[in-house]
Amino acid sequence: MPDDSSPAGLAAGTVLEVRDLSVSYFMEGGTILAVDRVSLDLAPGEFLGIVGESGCGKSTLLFAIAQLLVSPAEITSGSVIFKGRNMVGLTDKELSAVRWRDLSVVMQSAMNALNPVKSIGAQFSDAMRAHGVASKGEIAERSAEVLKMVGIDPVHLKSYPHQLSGGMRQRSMIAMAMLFTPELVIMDEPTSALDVVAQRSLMVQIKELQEQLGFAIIFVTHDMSLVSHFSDRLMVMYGGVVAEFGATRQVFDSPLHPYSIGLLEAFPSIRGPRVPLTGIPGSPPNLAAIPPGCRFAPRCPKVMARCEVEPPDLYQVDGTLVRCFLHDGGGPGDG
Amino acid sequence: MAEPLLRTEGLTKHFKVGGATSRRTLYAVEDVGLAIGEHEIVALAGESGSGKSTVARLLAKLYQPTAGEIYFQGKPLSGVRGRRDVLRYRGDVPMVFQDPFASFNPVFRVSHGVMRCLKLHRPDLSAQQRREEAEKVFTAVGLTPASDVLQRFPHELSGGQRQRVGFAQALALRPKLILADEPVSMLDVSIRIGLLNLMASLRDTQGVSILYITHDIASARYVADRLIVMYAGHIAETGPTEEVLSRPRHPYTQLLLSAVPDPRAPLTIGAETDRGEPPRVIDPAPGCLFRWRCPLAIDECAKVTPPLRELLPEHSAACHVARADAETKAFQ
Repeated sequence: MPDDSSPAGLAAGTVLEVRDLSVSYFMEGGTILAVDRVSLDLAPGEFLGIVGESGCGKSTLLFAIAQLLVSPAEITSGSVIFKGRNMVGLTDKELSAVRWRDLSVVMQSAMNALNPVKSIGAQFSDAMRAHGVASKGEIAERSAEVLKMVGIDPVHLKSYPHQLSGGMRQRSMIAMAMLFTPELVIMDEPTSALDVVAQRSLMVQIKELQEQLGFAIIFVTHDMSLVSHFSDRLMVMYGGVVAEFGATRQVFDSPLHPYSIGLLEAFPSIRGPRVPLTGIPGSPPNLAAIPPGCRFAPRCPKVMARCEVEPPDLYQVDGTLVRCFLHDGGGPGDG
Repeated sequence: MAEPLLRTEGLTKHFKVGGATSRRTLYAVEDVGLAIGEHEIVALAGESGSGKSTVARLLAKLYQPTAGEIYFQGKPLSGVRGRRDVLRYRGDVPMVFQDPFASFNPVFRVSHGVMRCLKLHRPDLSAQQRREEAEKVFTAVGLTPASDVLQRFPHELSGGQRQRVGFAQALALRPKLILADEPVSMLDVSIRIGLLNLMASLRDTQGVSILYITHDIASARYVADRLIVMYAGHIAETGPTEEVLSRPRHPYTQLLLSAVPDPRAPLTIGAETDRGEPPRVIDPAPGCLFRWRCPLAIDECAKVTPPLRELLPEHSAACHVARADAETKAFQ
């Protein structure tokens, strides 16, 4: 794997370039390597889905990209090049200039992310004034505009978060993220607190906004089927590393990693014959004591002797990267 | 038809909302008639706020119904009063909760809960018998080696294992019916199927019935014999799971089905994607509560609350427009 972290290698059509990013949690009982050398590139307007189970490092990766990690978590190596600048090591002041304007984050629980004692409009106006928009007229106009974009009546600018339904809160968070039309929006399970109908309509909304405004999205979820129709590329994480990374359709139609296969087979379908499913027995690895070989080996139905002693590399198979010895021979990928 | 294990008649629950002087009433559950047979898994599906959890709490005797009656093994539940009778009913119909991280006391080993249940509900057992019984139910839910798992603390178990402890605890009471309120929604996808399979095996090997409350209609299809779809406190549609899902008659059931993400299906995002939300039912006027979201609504829907009608054998829907034969498609 290449380890050049200089922006020199940045392709013209790349809004974000993550290289060999590692994050550790420094705990009293030892160090937990939550994200281990993850690399990815994101093109403008691209929709990248990141899926995995709880504890696989997907949210930590997101927070590391957005520079939102707090102690005891720390980036131990790698770089995050956003618009040609390495975000790792920037001061809070330098970061605030970027946040909301160029890069927005939508969190899992809008109820916790929104300030309960301020109206939606007041929170929008805070974000805009922080970026030097002083004109009240401009603030009011833009706030109403973004709220309309997500299908909420602008009268709700006067509403407080508790007066809105879960779906509307999540929509207003997304509206807030749109205030400055950023180039990258990072979303951490924005739909997981919603039920299936609201979830669907929010996903459609996000996709429509993206087509209209052209921002890139990194969308983290534990529900693989949710992004199946929306993301361009899909990254499957397991135990802090990339297990599989490729075009969404390809990963769904012909998954390569036994973990991706297992995940896909764990979804009962609403159509077709009712078949007994097994899920994936066992539980994710303890990241404080990472096994020497493949992290999925203890749960893998296709485990080989080699898997238990040697960690697999990322191999490239038809444009998809996969970390599994079953696909050794396709040549190491440059993920 | 033989008397089912549990059935309800006109089950209704209203809550006062607002301040002390408020006269507003939330109609959480309205005129629900359902039946759960022996050795059967019945799924109760709906969006948040549809009243499905309120039904479970009514059945668990955690709430008093505003109107209507629950019959357990043919006897009205309003007659179950004294401590001993209530205790026996709770042993027959235990509940498993949604959040496996909040429903255990972190300072006790997991054996604590199951031992207490046994002591309380089956006082005839000796200490030795209680331990054997605990090991037996832990083994039955796949927590092996049982003697080892019993000695662990909740934080030493994964979410899936904790949810199994919940089922083991319920099972120790030798129940007839387990009320499972969203038992898998907080679990990882790879773990969920194991729990659903466990529910099916409890039905098949232990002979219990389960009321499976969920918003995930795909998992309901996977595990349930019969399906009840609720909307805004009313039963919208009910029948054998496969029958309801292959021929959904109520527009709301069709909407639920259309919203399920299915990676195997081709993408269909229509402009008609529903943007509505379920209403908070406060002092409602007569009429169908789904009519604002329903593309098929007719004048009558705003005037008369549609009753639950049997359209096909064992398959009923509460909709003025739904017909047994004609394909009335509201949502693709």
